[in-house]
Amino acid sequence: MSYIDQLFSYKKIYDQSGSEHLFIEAMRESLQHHGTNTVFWKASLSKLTQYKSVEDFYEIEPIPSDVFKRNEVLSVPMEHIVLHATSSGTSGQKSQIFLDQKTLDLGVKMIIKSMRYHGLFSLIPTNYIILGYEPGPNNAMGNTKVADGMRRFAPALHTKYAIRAIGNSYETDIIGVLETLKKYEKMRLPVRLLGFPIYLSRLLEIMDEMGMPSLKLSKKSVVLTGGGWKQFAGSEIPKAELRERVFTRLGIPKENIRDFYSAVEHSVAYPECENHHMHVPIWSRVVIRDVKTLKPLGYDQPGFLNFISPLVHSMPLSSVMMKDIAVLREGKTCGCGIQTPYFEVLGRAGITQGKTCAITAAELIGGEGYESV
Amino acid sequence: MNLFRGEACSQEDFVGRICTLQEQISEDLSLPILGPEIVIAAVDRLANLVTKDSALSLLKIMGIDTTGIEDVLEHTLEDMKREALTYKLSNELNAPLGEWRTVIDNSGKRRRECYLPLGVLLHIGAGNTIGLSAYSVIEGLLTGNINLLKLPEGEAGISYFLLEQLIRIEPRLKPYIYMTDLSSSRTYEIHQLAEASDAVIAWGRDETIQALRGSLPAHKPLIEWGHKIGFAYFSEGETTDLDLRALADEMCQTNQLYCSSPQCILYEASEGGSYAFAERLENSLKESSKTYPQKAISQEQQAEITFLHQTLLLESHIKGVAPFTDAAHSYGVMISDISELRASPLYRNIWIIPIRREALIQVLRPHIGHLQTVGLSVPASCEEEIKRLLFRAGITKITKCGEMYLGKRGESHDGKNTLSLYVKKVDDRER
Repeated sequence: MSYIDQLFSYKKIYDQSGSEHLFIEAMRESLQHHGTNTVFWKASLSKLTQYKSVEDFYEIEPIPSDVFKRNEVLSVPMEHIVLHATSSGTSGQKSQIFLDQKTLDLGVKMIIKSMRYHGLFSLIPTNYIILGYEPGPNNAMGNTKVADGMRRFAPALHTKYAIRAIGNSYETDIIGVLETLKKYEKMRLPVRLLGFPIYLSRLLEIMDEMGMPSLKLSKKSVVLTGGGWKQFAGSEIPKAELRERVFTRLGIPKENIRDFYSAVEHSVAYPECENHHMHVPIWSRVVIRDVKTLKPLGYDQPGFLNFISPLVHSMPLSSVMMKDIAVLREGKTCGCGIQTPYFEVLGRAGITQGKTCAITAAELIGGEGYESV
Repeated sequence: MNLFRGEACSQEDFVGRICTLQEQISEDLSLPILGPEIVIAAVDRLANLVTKDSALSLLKIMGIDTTGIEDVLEHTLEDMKREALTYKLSNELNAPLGEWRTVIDNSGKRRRECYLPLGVLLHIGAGNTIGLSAYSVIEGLLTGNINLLKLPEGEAGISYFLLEQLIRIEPRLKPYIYMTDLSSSRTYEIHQLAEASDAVIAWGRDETIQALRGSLPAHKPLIEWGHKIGFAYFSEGETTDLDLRALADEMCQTNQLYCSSPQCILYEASEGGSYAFAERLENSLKESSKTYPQKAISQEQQAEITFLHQTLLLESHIKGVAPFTDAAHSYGVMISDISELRASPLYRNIWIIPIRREALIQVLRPHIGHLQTVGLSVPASCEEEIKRLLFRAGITKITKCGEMYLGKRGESHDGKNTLSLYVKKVDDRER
C-alpha cells in the first residue's frame, strides 16, 4: 500500500500530528511521480530524501492556478482520465482539470470521511435545491459535478436546479426555486440547498421583494454553499449575515448552514466546522505566501492561499497557489475541538476598482475573467 | 455632502426632494439659456483660485495619493482657464450656443437653425481621475445644461469642493447643479434621476455601462466614456532607445492608470527579436524607476502582478518566456507569443506583442470600441503607412512615446467632440 493510500485511509481526518509521517512520505511519492512525468519540480527530485518535515515542502515552487487555465498538464496518459472538469464561468478562460480513477477513488474516500465527520450524512429522503447549473451533455463544470455528487449523502427524492439548461444557454429560475421550496415545505421532509452563495442571497432578496412570508423548512434541512461571488463581487454579503437571513427566511438552523471552500485546481474540500471555520484536514497543508516575495507567512498575515497535497495523481497539483488572498488562524482559537489551523479567504488578487480608466483583462476578453469554482 | 439645485444638503434631504425634481427642472428649463460666458468666467476664476500647489496640498489633506499627477493637474487647471474654455467651445461646437442662423433652402424657403442645450444631463461619475466628475459637470454647464451628478464611490469630496466653490463664485449657476453621493445600489433613486434627464453620461467600467444600458428605457440616450486600451507601436529605427526610455518614464510616472496609458507594445520583431527588445525596455524601466520610485501599492494589486509573473514563470517550463522582473515584482516586461492585444496589470507592467504590419488591422479589429491612444516609434519612412493602418483599425489618437497620457488642447475625446454630444441642433421652418 502506498503512503498516499495510507494517508487517505487514516481514520482521524484532523489528526495532522498523528499522520504527519504519512503526509511527508505521501508528498515525496507525489513529487516523485509528478517530477518524473511532467516538466515541474525537476529540481526537487534529487532533494526528496532531504524533505523531512512538512515545512520542507514549502520550498517546492507552488504552481499558480492560472497555469491550468492556459495549458493542459497531465502526469498520466490521457487514456487514464475518467473525469474532466472545468472551472465555472460562462466566458473567459477556464481551468481544465483531468482526474484519473486513482485520484477519484481517493477523492471519494476523502469526501465521505469529511461529510461523516461533520454529521452531514442522512438516511432520510431529502428534497434538493441545486443553486447552480443543471447537468447537461455540454456542461463540464466542476461545481455541477460536485453538487451532483453531494446529493448522495442523503437520498434524493426530488431535485430542482436554479440555473436551468435551455438548449445551449442557461437561464436563472429563482422564482421556480421559490415555488418548489413552498412545495417542499408542505412535504415536511428535510431540504438540502447546495451551490453558489450568490443565488442563495438572491433567493432571499427576491423573497423580500415579493413580500413572501418566511418558510418553515424541516429543522433537519441543510445548506451547503461553495464558490465565490465572482462577477457579483460587490453584492457580496458577510457569511454570518447570510446565515442569519437563511435562518429567519427559511427556518434552517444556523449550525446546518455550512460553506465549503473548493477549487477545481485543488480537489480537497474544506467544509466549515460548527463554528463556521474551514480547518485543514490531514490530506493537505495550507501555506500563506507573501504577495511580493512568496515567502511563507505565519498565522494572521494575509497573502496568497497555497495548498500542498498529495491527493491528485493525474496532474501536478501537489502545490497549487490560488489567486485568493487568505489568512491562516491557529486551530485552538476556534473552540470547536478541531486543533488544526483554519483559513479565511479575504479577497482576491486584482486591480482595485475605480482607480483607473485603463481597460482590465476581463473587459478586454469581454467576459468575467479568471476564477475558480 | 449633496447639492440640490446648488444648495448643500444631506443625502437624506436629497432623496426626500427627488420627487420634486421634475417640477423644479420644468420651472428652470423655462429660464433663458445659461450663457457660456457666465460659465467661462466662473470656471476661469476657480482655476485661478486653485493653484497647482494649493490643489496638491488639498488632495494630500483629503488623503489622496498625488504621485505622478502633477502634470495632469497642471493640464487640467490650464484646461479650466478662459482661453482654453473659449477655444474648446469654438472647436467642439459647430456654431455658438443659442445663436440662430437663417438658412434658405433649395426651394427658396427660409429656415432658422440653432444649437441648444440637450436640457438635463445625468452624469454617472467614475473615480479614476481626480476631479473628473466635476469636470464632466463643467462640460455640461458650458453647453447650458442642467446637470445631475451621481458621484463615484470613494471620490473623497473633490468634486463637491470644486462645484461648491464654483457656485460660491457664481451663484447664477445654482439651478444648473445637482450632486449626490448616493450609492450605485440605490437603483430606484438613480432611475428617478435618469427619468428627469435628457441623456445619461456614463463614465466607468464596461460592467457599469452594460448595467445602465440594460436598465435605461430605449428612448434614453446614453453617452459612454468607457474604459479604453492604449499601446505603443515600435518598429526599429534611430529613435527606438530614446522612445523606449520616454515610454518607461511615462509608465513609472503614471503607473499606467490612464485609459491612454500603454498596456502593450506592438513590436515589429524579427524572429526571436522580442527577447533583446524586452531587455532594453527592462533597462529603461530600471533607470526610470530611479527618477520615479514606486510607492506602496495595494495588496490586491501587488498580488495581481506577482500572480501573473509567477504564472508566466512556471508556464515557461512548458512554453513561452519568463517575465523580466525583479525580486520585488516592482515592474514587469512580459513577452507574448501571439499577436493579440493583452491587458497588463498596470503599475509598470507591459506586454510585448509580436506584430506583422500586414496583420495589424486584423489584430486590432476585435477590440474596436476599446481602442484609443497609440505611442508611435517607427522610422520616418513608414510612419504615414502605419498611422493610416492604425486609424483605419479604430485608433483615435497617435502621439509620441512619453506623452500618451497627456490630453492636448483641441483634441477629441475617444474620437468625439464632447460638447457637440451635449447639444442638439434645432430647426425652425418659416410658416
